[in-house]
Amino acid sequence: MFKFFLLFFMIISNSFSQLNIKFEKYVLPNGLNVILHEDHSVPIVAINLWYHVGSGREKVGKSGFAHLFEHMLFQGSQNVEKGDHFKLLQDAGGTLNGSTNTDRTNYWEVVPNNFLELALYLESDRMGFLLEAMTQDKLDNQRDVVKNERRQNYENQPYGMASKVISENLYPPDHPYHWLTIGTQEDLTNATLDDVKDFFREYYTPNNASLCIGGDIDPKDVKKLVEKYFGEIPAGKNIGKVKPAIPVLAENKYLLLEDNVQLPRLYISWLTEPHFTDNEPALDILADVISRGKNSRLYKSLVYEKQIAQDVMAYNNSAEISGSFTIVATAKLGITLKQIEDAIYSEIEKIKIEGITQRELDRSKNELEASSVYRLQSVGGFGGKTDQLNRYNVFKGDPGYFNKDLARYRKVKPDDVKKAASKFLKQTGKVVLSVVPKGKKELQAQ
Amino acid sequence: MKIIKLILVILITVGTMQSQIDRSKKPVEEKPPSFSLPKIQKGVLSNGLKLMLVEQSELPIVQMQFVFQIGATYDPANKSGTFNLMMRMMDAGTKKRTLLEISDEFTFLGSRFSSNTNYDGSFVSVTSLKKHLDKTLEITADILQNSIFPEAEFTRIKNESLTGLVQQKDRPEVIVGKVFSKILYGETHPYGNPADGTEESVKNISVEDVRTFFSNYIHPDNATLIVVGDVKMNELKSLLEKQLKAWKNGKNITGDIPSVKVEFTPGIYIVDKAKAPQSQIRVGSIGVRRNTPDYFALEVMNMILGGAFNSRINWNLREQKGYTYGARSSFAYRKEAGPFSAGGGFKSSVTDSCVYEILAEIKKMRDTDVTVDELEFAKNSLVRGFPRTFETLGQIAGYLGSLVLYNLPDDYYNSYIKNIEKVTIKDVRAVSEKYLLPDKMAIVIVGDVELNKSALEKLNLGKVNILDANGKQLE
Repeated sequence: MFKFFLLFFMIISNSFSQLNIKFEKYVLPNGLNVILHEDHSVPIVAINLWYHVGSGREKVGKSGFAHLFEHMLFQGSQNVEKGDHFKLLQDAGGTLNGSTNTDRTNYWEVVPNNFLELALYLESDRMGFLLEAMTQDKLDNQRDVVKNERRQNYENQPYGMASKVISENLYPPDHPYHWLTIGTQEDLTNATLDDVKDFFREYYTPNNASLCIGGDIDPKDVKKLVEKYFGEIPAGKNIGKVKPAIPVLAENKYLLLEDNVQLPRLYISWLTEPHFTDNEPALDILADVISRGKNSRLYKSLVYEKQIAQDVMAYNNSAEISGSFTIVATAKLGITLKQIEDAIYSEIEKIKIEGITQRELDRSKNELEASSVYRLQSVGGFGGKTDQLNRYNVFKGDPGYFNKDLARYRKVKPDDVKKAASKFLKQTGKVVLSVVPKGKKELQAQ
Repeated sequence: MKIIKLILVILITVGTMQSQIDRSKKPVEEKPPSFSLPKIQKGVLSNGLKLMLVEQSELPIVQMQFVFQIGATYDPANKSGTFNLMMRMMDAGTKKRTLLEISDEFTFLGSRFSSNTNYDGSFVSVTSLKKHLDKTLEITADILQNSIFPEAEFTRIKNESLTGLVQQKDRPEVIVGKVFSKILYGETHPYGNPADGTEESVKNISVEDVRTFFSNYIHPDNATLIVVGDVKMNELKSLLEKQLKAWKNGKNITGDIPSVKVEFTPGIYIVDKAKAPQSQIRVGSIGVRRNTPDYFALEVMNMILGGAFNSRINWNLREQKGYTYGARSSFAYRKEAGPFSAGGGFKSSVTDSCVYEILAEIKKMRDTDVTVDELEFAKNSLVRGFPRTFETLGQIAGYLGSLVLYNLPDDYYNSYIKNIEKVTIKDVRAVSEKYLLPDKMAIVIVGDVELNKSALEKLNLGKVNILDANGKQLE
């Protein structure tokens, strides 16, 4: 009897180990969500602040605002001179950054534990007292910086404009996923100081923010400091929930882009579903099964056996408003994108008919489980524990969604993956983009 | 008075609220935390493999890194990239397992395996959940002892490498780095040859070359195993003895990396990228070895010049002028003198101004003392920031890797803070004068030649040379 129990327990613990991330959540009267997480392994504190606004809240003609705004938040506030935000935190031995995507903007600092108050002071000053210090000069300067960011990461990168073309064709012009988070050069040029200020007043309010503080902290002290610095900031107006909007793509759009590249590359994109919906786990696992590791279907077929592709990858990008599934493959010299396209479809159709094996599914789940443990090593920064707690809080209202999220993936069966492939990776209803070297149109798909 | 009124009006119109606390006073630091470095345990296996362990039991993870004291500087003449290719395909098949079987088994365990090389060393890195450590080690041991480098896999992976090198031409930030190294070190010193080779040199590599390198150099006497994570020394040792007992010593490495001679011609070197919206720029010269006694003064100096967001170069070119998304400077410390470089990606139309400004910042650093504030900022930033760089297993393993690779004493990091704190304004000036030689620098640019050539000539910084993407002179 005892033996049986022991064995049973071991099996359970092996395949269903739980992540244990303790936290405390409360809400200030002004609506600010606060999450505290203790981790005393290193004497550091991580501050992670999410504003529930990304390029998905932007309007036509005002693209790039959320991201331009992120830059403006590092330009000083009423009590902080330009340059001092960085200077004070780096002088404290801290590190800091921020980022913007379609759905949220995040800001973070990691500092030695004796500088927590400084970090909260700085974050609160730019939440409550930013506009007083915003000037045309600062806006002009950061607009130039962002234009350089766009040149560096898009215009001067091989295949750099592919994501723009795909978004513009998956989504109609009035859908906020139609444009890139970085915006267009034209909209950036047209952004006025008033536009930017309006954006701040609307979205940079405590009731639209989630503040996670993790690391070597004493929650009692931290609560007092949070109250001191954030408590007095008035709530803004109510912000409506973002509603999912998945457009219909009834046809196949074949597109061509000539670029300064040596090798042609093919992108195939389908619309899927927003994040945390029922099909997301099966779609993520499908992406894994077809492109993660050397035994994945597409890698094995295109890169390993046929050797017609230099690389291949697939990902399901489920976000707040909508989602898309994309396969990207770079052709070897002398190979056309038509050959690549055919080889990809033949593998996809196989999955639609035969499904995937239990081994493929287990491999993917095991890898997912291991990754979720590996990800717990950092308390701060992009993807650290404070960032993960905020993500679950902002999108699910529950910072502790870790194990529920894992459970969604654990219950996926081979047949779910097969069904997801049939349902979403349709023969008709996709964007197929060929990026070819200049003057080599003949290499395109179709 | 008028000004005050005007400000008041503006404040009211934007609806400012009055803060209840005095925000003009910034919080000051409380008592600094105590921080002790992770304890390093050392051991030796029966086959002579040296072992360093840092126990970290917060998460059920073990990270391992085999550090081999040999890297791309040992590539044969005309075959640069040999070491890289060998390391890259180390998991391409053993006497027991095929490439696909190895990949399948690792992924099934959720374990990560990677192997790579740089100029100074070669590395096999493995991360595993604790519960799969034994099995992960068994596969790793199989690779280290029994890799056979199958002919068909070699042909395929070599072809993949060659195609990868062709693709690099699309990436100006990669080309600028490779050409910069080639200008500085020429073709005679190994640091002038890319660790991943050139199209020409990789073509010369045979499967026999790769097999010979593996059988000559991948041995315990040439390696140190660094382990960080949830495992105890006795447990680790018995697992390793079980899996690696048969791993035998090989050929001892002879010969040192040749010391570096400064022989390059200062001036401007451009690789054309017609219509490029940005110019990638690197300004610099040959720097210094990792174990230089000047290391700490250089770290402080570079923090002021271009090591951080608030450093002079980024402040000037990004935050004041808006010419770039980011500009930095750094010393690449290696076993021999690696390069010093400053640069980034800059709007094409202001390429000449950016070169001028970067050089001006370098000159200013050399010609004048830094301020007390700047010195304090740099030292604070390094000293106070030190503990947070020991958070993840990978960070700790990286620190141990440097000890091994550069032969630094075990207590090196214990005196790091003390050594940074000792640096004075004079020390900063002295290393600036010694290592920042603005009149003897190479300026390498990947950008639009037609747009920039004549403006660059007007800077009077020596000949403006036009090169191809491999760094060969075109005119």
